[in-house]
Amino acid sequence: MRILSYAGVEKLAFQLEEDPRIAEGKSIHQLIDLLDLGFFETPLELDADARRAFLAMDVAKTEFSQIAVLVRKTIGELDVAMARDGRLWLTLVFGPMNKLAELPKSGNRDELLNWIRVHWYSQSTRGLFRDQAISKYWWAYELLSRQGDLAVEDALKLFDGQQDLRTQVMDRTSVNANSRVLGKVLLVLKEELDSGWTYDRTMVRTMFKYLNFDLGRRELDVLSSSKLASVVKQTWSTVKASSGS
Amino acid sequence: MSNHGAARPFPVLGRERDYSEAEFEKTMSLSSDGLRLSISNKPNSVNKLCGSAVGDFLLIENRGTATKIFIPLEAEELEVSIPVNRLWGITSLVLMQISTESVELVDADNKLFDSFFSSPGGTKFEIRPGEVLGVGEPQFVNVGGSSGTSWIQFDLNEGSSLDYRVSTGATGNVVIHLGRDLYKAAMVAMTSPEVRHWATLSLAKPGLEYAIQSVLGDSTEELDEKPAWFEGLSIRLTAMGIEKEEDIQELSELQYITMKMLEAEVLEPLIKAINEAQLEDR
Repeated sequence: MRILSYAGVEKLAFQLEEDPRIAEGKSIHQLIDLLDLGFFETPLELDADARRAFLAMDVAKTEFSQIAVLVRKTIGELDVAMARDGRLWLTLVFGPMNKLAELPKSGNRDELLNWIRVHWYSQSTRGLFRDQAISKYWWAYELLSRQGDLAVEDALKLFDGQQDLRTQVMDRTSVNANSRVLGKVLLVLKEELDSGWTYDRTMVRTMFKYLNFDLGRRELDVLSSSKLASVVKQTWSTVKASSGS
Repeated sequence: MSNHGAARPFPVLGRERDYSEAEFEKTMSLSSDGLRLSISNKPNSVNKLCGSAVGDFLLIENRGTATKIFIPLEAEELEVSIPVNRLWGITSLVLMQISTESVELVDADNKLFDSFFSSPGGTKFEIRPGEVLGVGEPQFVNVGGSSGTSWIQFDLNEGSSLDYRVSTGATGNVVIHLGRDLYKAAMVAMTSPEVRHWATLSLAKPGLEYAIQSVLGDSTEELDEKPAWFEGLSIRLTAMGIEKEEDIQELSELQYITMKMLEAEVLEPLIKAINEAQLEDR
């Protein structure tokens, strides 16, 4: 698979500054030829079946978890050095997953350029985890697959219709880097939701804030499963008590 | 006897020089290929005080990939392979002693703890599970990140810890071999956005000087203390949506941004000016 080089990325950015819609509807091969963009060859190959699934997908009617599973199937596992490379994710915008990264139908030049910077060109850790149109799905699958308390598909379903939870998880590297802590948090929230609790963003944010604070002082990931579960449940109980639930 | 509970600095024990009577005494060395560690994990005073309530761990941490891996150290001498497929950019390796159970730590003679906390009759600490009791000297490795097609690359210098040397890499890029303490300084500096920026730029300076010397031949002209491309860097950060320190979580990101700035704002105009000057000479 061809991936844009740094020079290709920069040149495309220059062309987009001139006309934000210049790449609309074009494949990466067409763009390389049309704009004479630099690229390099990689051994990465996208899954053919998953590619076809994207053709039939109505993104607006598809849950986050379904898209994330399909993105992962399409791209497969990556060396994280590659998964942190913005050139890969920008290139994929012009591939079979382009439906996930379509430009807004309306908007002036500045609005479109700002959208492109966030959803196509993100390079920071937070940007790739949360904002980039395709990498956010791959990284959500990756981080949730590292915890062992829920099947990754079940964990991803917690994000469906709850962008706030996804933001909390993907934003808080102090929590999501501690994969065992993250697993216990998701388990607590799943149990609450299964028992009829209505998602409360203030409560969830408060729990993440408390855990973030605790993780600044303790290394909870080394604790036994039962001790760790106890710490997380205690934190959640404190949040519930303070909220009056 | 006083009880200081949670009102104490992090960590309790083992900070280099702070607790001369409670030396950490655990060491590791990174093999030249950068992928294997040799660890000496002999029991120290923390082990003797806390027994099985404390565990010894190697922490492998990489913020750019949200990776924290704790490897329990279950022997006095051991070799550990670093799982590089989970790492990118600068990764820190630290030996730690962490309580896995609640434990009450008593220092009857006030020998182990900082004198600030000492009191007649000894000092007592109640340790909660997960608290860090000792931290060893960190090591840093750079996995990928600034390599690839980047014209400048940072590397860990095996020599003296404050030294650096510059060489030409295999692909014609500039390689700056930094001493361990320079890496440490960069990591410490990451807690402050202003210092962090300037620390990274300072690390980039020898590479920039080398690159300019490469272009100018024998020129030894010094750079200004405050580079002219600082404003350009600010503009670039803004354009990338980087508005606060949390937006940059990995030194390699900053290196990349800085390097692109150096290329765009300094080297390209410089090379262009030299070329034009050479044309005029002809």
